[in-house]
Amino acid sequence: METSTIQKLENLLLVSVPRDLMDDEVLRLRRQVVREIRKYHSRWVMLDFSAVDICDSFFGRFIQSTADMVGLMGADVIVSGLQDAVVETMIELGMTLENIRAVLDLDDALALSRTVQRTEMYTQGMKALNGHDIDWDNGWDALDMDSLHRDTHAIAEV
Amino acid sequence: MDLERLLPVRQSVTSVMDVVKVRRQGLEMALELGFPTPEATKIAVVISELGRNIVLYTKGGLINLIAYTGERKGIKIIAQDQGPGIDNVEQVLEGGYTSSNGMGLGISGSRRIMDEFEVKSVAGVGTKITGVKWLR
Amino acid sequence: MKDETARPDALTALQNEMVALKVALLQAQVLQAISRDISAARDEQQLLQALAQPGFDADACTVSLSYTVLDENGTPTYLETVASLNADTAQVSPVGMRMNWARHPLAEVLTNHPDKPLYIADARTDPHLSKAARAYLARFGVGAEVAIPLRHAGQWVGLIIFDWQTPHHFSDYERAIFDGISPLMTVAVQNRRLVDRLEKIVAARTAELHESQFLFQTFLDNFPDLAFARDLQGHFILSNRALEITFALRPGEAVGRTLHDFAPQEVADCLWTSQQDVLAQQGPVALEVTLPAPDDPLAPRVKYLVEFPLYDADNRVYAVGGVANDITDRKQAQAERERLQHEVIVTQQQALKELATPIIPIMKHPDGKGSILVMPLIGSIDALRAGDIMRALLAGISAHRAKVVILDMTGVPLVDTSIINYLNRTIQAARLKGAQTIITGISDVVAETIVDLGIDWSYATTLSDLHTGLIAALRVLGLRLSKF
Repeated sequence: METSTIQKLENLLLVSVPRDLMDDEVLRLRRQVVREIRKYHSRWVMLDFSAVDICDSFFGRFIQSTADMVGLMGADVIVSGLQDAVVETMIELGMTLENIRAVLDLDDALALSRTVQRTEMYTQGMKALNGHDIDWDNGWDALDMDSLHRDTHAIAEV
Repeated sequence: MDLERLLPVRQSVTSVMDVVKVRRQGLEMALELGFPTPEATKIAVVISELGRNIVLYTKGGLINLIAYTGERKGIKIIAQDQGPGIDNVEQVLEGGYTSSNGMGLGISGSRRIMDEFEVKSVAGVGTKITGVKWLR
Repeated sequence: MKDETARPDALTALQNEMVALKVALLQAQVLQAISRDISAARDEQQLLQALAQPGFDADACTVSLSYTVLDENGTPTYLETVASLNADTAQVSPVGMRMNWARHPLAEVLTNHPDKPLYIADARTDPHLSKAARAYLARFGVGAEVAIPLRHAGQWVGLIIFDWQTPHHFSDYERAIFDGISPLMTVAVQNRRLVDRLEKIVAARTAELHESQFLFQTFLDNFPDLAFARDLQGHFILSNRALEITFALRPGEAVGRTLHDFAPQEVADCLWTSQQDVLAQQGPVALEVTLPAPDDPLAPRVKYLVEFPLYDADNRVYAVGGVANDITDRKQAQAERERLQHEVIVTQQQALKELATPIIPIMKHPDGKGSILVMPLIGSIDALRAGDIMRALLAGISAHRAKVVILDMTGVPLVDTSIINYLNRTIQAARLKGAQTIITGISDVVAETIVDLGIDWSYATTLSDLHTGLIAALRVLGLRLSKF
């Protein structure tokens, strides 16, 4: 059986999801992710789906439950590497993974984590300086105010 | 044409391993029939959903896959079990569209994906779900 | 001594009486035995054999039984020998021989003495006989003869003739039995002839039936397609050669068996269901069924099958008949036509698709942090095109590492909920590939429709025109337009 691997990269935990995910594996994987987050104080958990070519509602539940657990640990889930056919099927099934970030691949995940880290630090700095919100001239998801706001808020309250 | 992949598949389903096996066979069958990858993937997902339902809610069942190789190409999925049956077939077929956590998407989503979809369920006897996807 | 002289007379009379009684008893016994054997006789030969009993041995060399053939007035026309027994095979009237009654040498005498047996003790000298008759009998070596006429209600039925080669003295005992034979045999022969006639009719009818059945079966067997009938349990009671060939059976092998015995499971199931439909509807049912082709198992034949109920004399359904017509070629022609039509449509759609789903990479981030895609939507959007748009977009996002996708709706004249739904799904799909979507070019008509339909598009980034969309997209990538 293929086993999933978890690797640490900067403030990212890279989880490569196996092609055929078994029920018992899900529990093991989630438990391991939580342990690693605590160990490395990771900010992001990236679930890499590039090996997955059949993604049914069970995967949807897996992603959602992992996101919920990771959220409790103060981290966020990024989904990466969803194949076109998989995306189409998920949409067809209504699995839109709302409130979960998706990126193209590891490069983008890394870029995202770095940018957000920078803006978070910047935000914290600005907040400390000005005591008010910053002007979003430069940053990811400049138009996705809600989600970014949520992120910064989460950090600000830590 | 790899005829082996077009042979009818008859897989008893009692565990997720069986589901994984049969959906992979379904994927290969669909690709062999000429379905584009996204369509084949959807078919495999339908098989997966039906198979998981069998594993989740019954003691075991059977999934048959049949390839139509004539003028009109297509794939037929038959999933049957001796489970408790579905009480509210209509509700199950309609429901779950907006749910984002994946719950309840299985059957209603499967119906949207397939061209023909039929659920026969008798309480205490079992459920038989038949779906056909035609190649366009 | 009167007594003594009288005694012997009385004694003799008594003794004679006793003898006569014994003889009568014996005669009765013989006639009873003859009667018994006659009623047990199964054919004419056995009828004659019944005449030979212990206690009565005529010692004749030939005994024959003839039937008389009557004309419409009841006058005999022919005499037909139907059975003959002989001790000496030298002189036998062959069975089946027909003789003209008028030319029969004894005809005249018999016609004159129709109710009593005719005794000819010496054929050479008998005064009853004409000269021709004597010559006739002499020619056949007949020395003596008894002709027993068999008559019923004044009508001739037949004739039994005992022949001796030498002159024969007929005792009273013999005469009594010959006389007794006549009524017994008349009834038996009468019955026999009736039975015979019936048997002949039955045989003729049976032959006719066989012939028509044979004709029917021959027709059926040469019928190029399937024809059959099955009883209510599904056993074949009729099948033609085409059916047997279809299932690789030998002639006649299908009858008595069911389809489940020799046909593929699904075929047997299908035809069992159709039979139940016929019984439920009490009327014909037509269906298309795919059957194996015996010569080429890979090319199954499509049959148009009509099944119909068969009623018995009481108007109850006792079986279901079926005839099938091969429509494989027709179906193939039809499929071919549809395929061609389909091909034309697909070709057109393909051309349209390439026209309708252009992906334009507008700009790339100088540091490789993604790119901007523009996808102008043109014309009406249906389910099929929506799928193509999504597919093209997803492929474009991967290929160009797009971070922002601008869907320009300038070319979409009107929208409805389903189009909005397709667009929503496209936006979600793009998001799962890590790209944001900006919708531009919503005309006032479209905007009005969206509001009127009560569609909530507040979550989507919508901007007035492509220009504004592009500036917004640049901002997402962290870029800005500036003058030199």
